[in-house]
Amino acid sequence: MTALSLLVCAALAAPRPPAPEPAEPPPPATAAEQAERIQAALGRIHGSPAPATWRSLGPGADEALLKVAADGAALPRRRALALTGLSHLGGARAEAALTSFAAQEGLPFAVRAAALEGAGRLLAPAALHRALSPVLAARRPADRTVAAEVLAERAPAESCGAIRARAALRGERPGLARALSRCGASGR
Amino acid sequence: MHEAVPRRLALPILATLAACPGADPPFPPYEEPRAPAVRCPSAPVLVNGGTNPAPDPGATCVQAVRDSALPAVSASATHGWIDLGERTVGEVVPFPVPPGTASITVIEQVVDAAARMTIHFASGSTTQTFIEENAAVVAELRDPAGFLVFTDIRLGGPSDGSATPLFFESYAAVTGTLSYPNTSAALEVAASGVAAGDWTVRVGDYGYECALAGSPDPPAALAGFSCDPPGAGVTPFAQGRYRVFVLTRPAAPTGSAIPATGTLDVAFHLVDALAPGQLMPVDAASAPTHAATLRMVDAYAVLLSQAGLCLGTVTFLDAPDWARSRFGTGVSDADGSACGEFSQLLTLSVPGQRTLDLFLVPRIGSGSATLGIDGTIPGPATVNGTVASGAMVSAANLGAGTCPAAGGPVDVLRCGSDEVAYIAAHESGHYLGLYHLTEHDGRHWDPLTGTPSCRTSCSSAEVSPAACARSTTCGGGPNLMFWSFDPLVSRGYLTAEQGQVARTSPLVR
Repeated sequence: MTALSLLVCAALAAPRPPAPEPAEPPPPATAAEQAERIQAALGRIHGSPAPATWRSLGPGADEALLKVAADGAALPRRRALALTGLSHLGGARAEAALTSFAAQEGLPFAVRAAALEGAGRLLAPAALHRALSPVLAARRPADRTVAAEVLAERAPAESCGAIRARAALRGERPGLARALSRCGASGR
Repeated sequence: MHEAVPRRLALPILATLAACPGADPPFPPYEEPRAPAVRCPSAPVLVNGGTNPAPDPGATCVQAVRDSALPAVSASATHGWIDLGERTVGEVVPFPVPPGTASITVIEQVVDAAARMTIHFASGSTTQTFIEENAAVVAELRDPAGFLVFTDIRLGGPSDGSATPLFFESYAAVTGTLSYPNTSAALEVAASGVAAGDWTVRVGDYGYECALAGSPDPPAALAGFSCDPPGAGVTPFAQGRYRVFVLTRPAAPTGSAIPATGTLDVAFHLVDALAPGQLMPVDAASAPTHAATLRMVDAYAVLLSQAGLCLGTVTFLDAPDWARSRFGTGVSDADGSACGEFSQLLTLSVPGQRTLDLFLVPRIGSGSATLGIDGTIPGPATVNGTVASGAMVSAANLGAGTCPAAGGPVDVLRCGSDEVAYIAAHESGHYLGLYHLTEHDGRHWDPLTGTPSCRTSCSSAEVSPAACARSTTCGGGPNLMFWSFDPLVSRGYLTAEQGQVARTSPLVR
């Protein structure tokens, strides 16, 4: 157990059963409280907010998160986590936003990577393949790496052929090694 | 030998973080407690450390036993490093603490022990079964009078450990570290120095606790707790072996035993993607003069100055190509085991160096969800190269945003390098022994009475920084060691007690 998990179960001495996921808290009673809770979710230092935390942010949270994600003046990690939150909230607006962000060249790496991973969480395999396979040819190698890993994990049947084809290009194989390994493990 | 670039002094004017223009200050008139910043006598020296020479371990999980960078205790050195050798769990090992000692640190490093165990926990009519990774944790620590300073032979710990002699809630595999004093009660008792004489440590781990629970006469404190026997070929729980070190830090010559100020040397490891697709704005060669890292170091120095700490040498190292290939597009924190990506990355801290090692990576976890994470609380100070030797910090914001002019106040809302510095300082606080003031549930607190706490009643959900910046009973949000970060609330404050605990670390010189 590392510092991350110890802080979640800080009362334990000798080993104890892992704590169940806490019950979903009530939605915020006021707009100010919602804003506080969104800030807290975006500012968690160790580990990801639980899906229940995102879901408990209440009506309109998707709009607030989308505003953060689209704010070019906001710091990249904050925008990235807003996209992750959106992917947990789901819905047509979140799908459209994540697909759009995933397609954008020139975004800070953390932002685009979060969009790629969020799309992987939200889209069905065929739709995911359509949305992310063009990113296998993205300008930034790290974007290609993340896209390939998401596709290999979430849409192997649809995408492993394209990942292998990309890996056959000169210099591409090292960055796609983990994706290729996942494709191999999935038998695709 | 690499060039050393002298840095200008971090200006005392920076000691207050910027309020955020356009945002209503959420907490006045409530005033969070905070210690004054120390005025450092000289500026940190920034150094290009070149490329980290760590060899590629391939698929091997690195768990090597490492030595301390401190001098060994000898006839000419009363304080430093004492090697208690390889010991079996359950052994009670004495060690001398000389007069004039400010703190003691005990470190266990695994030599041979079961990696994990299947545990049953019976409560009432129900029994839960789960698999847990073994944890290196001292079973008992006693002072020269035989007083039990710490025991892990217990189920459950205090929600608030401020009245206990030693607080420990940082269970980790392979390498475990315990430090004294680290609570309000102990800081008071040891104000003029840790009791001199022969202390004893009982070597332990979770396996040892399994063995005790399964013994004919199990301790009452372990009632309801049992473990399956280890599988064939696995070291029996009662035979785990650890290399045990004790580190002693000398007391200040006058006044309080814990020195009022100290110096910390830091190593920043740049774990970037391989060329031509680098994701960070700097490498080790450019970092000592690049605006993004200069800003980060300045802000980091400002935050640590509230703990009475000054930066000495700041070394930047490029990760070797094999590590950049493996970790350079991000590091997962999902696997918290000793062989997980995070723990293995920490083994790149260079052995033999008395440095606090911070690994800057492009992102941590899926969706960049994690800002930072450290090995253990406290870290195995001065023992680099272990799975717990350092901390990892997201560099996603390094160089991003708009920063104030040099010497301007820290701005964690708009200046990405300042935000990276804030998280680096938070993780450094953990490594130096500081816990979160309040955990997310509002039910567990650090062991210091001088830090504000925040209760469940302060919020309808997780206790947020904003909800914990209102009163002495709903406080702590602006403190550097609050569990969560909010650029509109977080101020990076530290209290006098927090500074004392940080300065007990053997890393501080």
